[in-house]
Amino acid sequence: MSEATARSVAGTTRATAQSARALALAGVAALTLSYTSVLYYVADVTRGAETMLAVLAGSLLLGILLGRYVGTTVAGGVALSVAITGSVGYVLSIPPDQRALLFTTRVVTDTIALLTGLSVLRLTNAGVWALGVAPAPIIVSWYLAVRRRYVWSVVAGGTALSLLVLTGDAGPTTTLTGVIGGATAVGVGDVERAGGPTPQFDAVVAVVAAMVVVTASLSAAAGGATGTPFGDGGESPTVESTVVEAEDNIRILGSISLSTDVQFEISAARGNYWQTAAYDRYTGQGWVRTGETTAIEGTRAGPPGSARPLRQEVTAQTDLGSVPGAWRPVNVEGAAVRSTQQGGFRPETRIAANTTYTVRSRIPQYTTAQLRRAGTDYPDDVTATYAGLPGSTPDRVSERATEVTANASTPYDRAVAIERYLEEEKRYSLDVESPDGPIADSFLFEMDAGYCTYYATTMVTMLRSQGVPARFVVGYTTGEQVGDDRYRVRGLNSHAWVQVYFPDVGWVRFDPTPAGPREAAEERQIRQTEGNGTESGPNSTGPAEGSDTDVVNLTPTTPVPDPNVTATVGNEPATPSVAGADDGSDELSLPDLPSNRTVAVWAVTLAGLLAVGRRTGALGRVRTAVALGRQSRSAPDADAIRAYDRLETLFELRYRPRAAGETPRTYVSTLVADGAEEAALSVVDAYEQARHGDGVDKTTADDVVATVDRFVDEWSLGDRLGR
Amino acid sequence: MMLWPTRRGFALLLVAVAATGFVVHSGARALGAVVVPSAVALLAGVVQVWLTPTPTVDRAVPADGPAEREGTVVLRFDADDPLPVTADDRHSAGLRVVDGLPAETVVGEGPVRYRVRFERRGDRTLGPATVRYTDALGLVAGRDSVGETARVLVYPAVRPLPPALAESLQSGLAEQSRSERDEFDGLREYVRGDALRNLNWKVSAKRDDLIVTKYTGARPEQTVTVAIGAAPGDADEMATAAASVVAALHSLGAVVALLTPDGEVEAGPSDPEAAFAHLATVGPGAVPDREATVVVKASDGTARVSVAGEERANIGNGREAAT
Repeated sequence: MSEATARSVAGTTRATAQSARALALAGVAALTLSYTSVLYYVADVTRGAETMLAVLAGSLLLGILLGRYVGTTVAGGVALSVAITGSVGYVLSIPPDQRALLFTTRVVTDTIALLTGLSVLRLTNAGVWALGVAPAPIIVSWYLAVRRRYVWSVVAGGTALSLLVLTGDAGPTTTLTGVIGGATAVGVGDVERAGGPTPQFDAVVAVVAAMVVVTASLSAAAGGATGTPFGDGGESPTVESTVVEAEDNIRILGSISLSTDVQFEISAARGNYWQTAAYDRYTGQGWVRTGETTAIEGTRAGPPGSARPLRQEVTAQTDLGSVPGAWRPVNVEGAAVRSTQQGGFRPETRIAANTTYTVRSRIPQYTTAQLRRAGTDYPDDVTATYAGLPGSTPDRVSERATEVTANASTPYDRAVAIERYLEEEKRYSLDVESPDGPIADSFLFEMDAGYCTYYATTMVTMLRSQGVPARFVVGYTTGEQVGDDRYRVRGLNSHAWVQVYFPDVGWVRFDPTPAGPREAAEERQIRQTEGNGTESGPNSTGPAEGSDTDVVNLTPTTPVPDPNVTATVGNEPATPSVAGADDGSDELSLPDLPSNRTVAVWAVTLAGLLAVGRRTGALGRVRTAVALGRQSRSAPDADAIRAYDRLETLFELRYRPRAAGETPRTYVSTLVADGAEEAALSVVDAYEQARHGDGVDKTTADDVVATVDRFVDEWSLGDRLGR
Repeated sequence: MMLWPTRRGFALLLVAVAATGFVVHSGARALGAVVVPSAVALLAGVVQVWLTPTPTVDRAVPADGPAEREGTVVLRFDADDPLPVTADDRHSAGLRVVDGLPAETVVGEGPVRYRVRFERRGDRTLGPATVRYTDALGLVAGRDSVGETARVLVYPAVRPLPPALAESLQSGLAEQSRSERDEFDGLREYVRGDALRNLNWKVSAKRDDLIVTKYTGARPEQTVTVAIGAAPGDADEMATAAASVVAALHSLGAVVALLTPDGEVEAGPSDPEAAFAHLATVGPGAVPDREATVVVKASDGTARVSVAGEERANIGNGREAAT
């Protein structure tokens, strides 16, 4: 390496070290952002967003201040005490009856559950948990980052991110951001600590860019396959499919193929909705069922008010993952089940086909007058669990609900008003484009059609905004009556509806989905399938049929197409293209603007390529090629001048720059190789004529340009041959 | 080139493996966004280290010299692009690195200097140098051997002689010089500074003046014959004792004719290297000439030095004892 290079390396080293530090801290910031965004999301769902923001900001500040002024032991002590405070706070926030379950083995089991995919949102007091977990990693990682121990800082932040990845709450983009941030911090941190030279920096950029590009490409390529590398995360996979038009066989957590397959046959004296699960926590994008299941002890209590017993004998026709039964089930025989916090049952293992089990339920009996009289004295635990909405729920939802229920004076009337409003105002359709924003808000203000999950979610949201406890329920409608007291229930009977709580009565069913259109669609399905002689119908989302999952993701990517079109498996998803799934539509549609993600990935690719280019000197070579390359022609004088400039650039690269005070003629004649003097000097002549003399004519200009072209070609060839 | 994962790289590998395990065990979740970038980073690291060109090195070693002394080695690395490396240098037994290695340096920025101690006599080598470097993210490390070996000849240690031995050498020299006189070259008057030894008393008495005898030319340098030998295993003691004796004789102005089991060499104060170089590698064997003026005989870890037939010192194991 020459002296000049050595000196310039030393000079740029200082500047590089400073910008390297900034970039390393930016990497740590990206990592911090990744896991705090998930924690903030949890806080928002549990209505603790402001507190969480305060805690996050405070932890960041504390970490930085400790880093500047305090030694490792003290800082470690602070972080540890903060972490302990958080854990104690979480334990204390659990209701006493549930807390009794919490001893060491329980803690271990719960931790294992979290690590193997239990979403944080399913924890009883997810908000407090998130608040407890947040400070320690932030304090530790920023303390270390300020101290320039970037690797350990990334380890601290990465542990927090890993936990949230394992619980399934961190989506692919979030995780990738965190990973990239961490990699940048580590790589650039090394450069900064070594006071290092630029080529290492370029290498870091190139590697990080490669990480992003390969990951994004793999996710796009695998976007259509079942079980993508980024599989069934909490984040909607449709984000992946905006990179590429995906074929539709993505399985979403919570959704299953909805078909005309018979799921079970049920004998019961009276028809009813056969409920499988109820969900209490709304995230804006879906529903989460909180709390653990417990072992049954004898027969459970029925509804608070009067109730009539109903005995149901269920014969499963396929594997069932749930225990359908009328609300409110008090006893199950013939299947091993556990009790859920929401008052239902859940099987310990899947129920095999052709098994029969018996459910005894107590159906609440009430009159409308009774419901009107019920009042608003709700039990505390009901209000705590079933009356909350995420902090980020837009105000207009609440405003619309207030409008709609303006004339209602009791909770019952409010429920009826909302139910009617949704039935009348929104069109039933199985063919919808998944909204980007919160479901209820989008359904109310942006969509004009939807199906049961949308109706139900919106009604619950509106009721909760009015302070009425309500919850989202899934299961099956009654089904096809195939005999006295016997019903045949198929996959397409899957349904989602609403339950509203009334003091002294309990949970009462409401169904905002317009029944007529729904039943008509179901009928068509059946007739069609039977006509084609095929067993299974098209894929569609719906409420979790036979769902044994606790999280329902409402964003469909596999809607049933317009029933008038022959059903096929593997339909276009409704989401990505603006053209919608209107097959055979004549509308001309503009292509989508690339999503933010696509733009980001391309930007990163570009940065990486530039870094690689600089590293390998390719950039320099490109610049030289451009400087020497064929010139575009205009006027003869300008051409002659440009030709000489190219010649001078060539000589500069090949020999040496022109010295101050050296005339072009002297310069060229000194350096030019023997035999080429005449040609080279002709270029100089033309240049001088064009510049200071009378100008040159086109022929001369042509000749001169051709001459210089020959020089350049000769040199490039020689350069390639290594002369 | 050798390639291996660093601690960091190994940890990342474990993370990726654990993540894959979790995927297999309990579902993909977003773990793909952990596994894929990790794999890319590790692969990129391997590629980057593999493609890193080996630097060149320019080595400056200390001059040949006696043992128990230190010297500085200077390594100047060079490469097309600056590369942060950890530099180290190999050396043969008999040399010891005191400090300065391994050195963290950036190739092309400045030389690496380290101090080396000559421990034992012999033909020693320094090098080749090794450089260890990592990829951009510090996940994969590679090591290269750079440059050639350089030879350093370590002479035996030179130590001050026991006083008895030093005195006997000195007097022996004086006597030898007395018996090896120059030729008579005439008489002249005494001038202040003349050696009193050369005063010619007989003639002075006759002349009633002080007269000195003139001798021809420059006095030839005195040559002292030193013969050395050692029992097998005691060559080092022999060499050290011999080197010390040679150094002492040189400081007294005498030329030494060294007779060793491996050959003869003559060296004077103006060109002592020949003797030391020979002593650096001399092996055991019988004393070539027992009648030599100085005889060094080493056995059982001790070197016995005799001057004019009488034993004057035992030099052994670093302890000096006069007889």
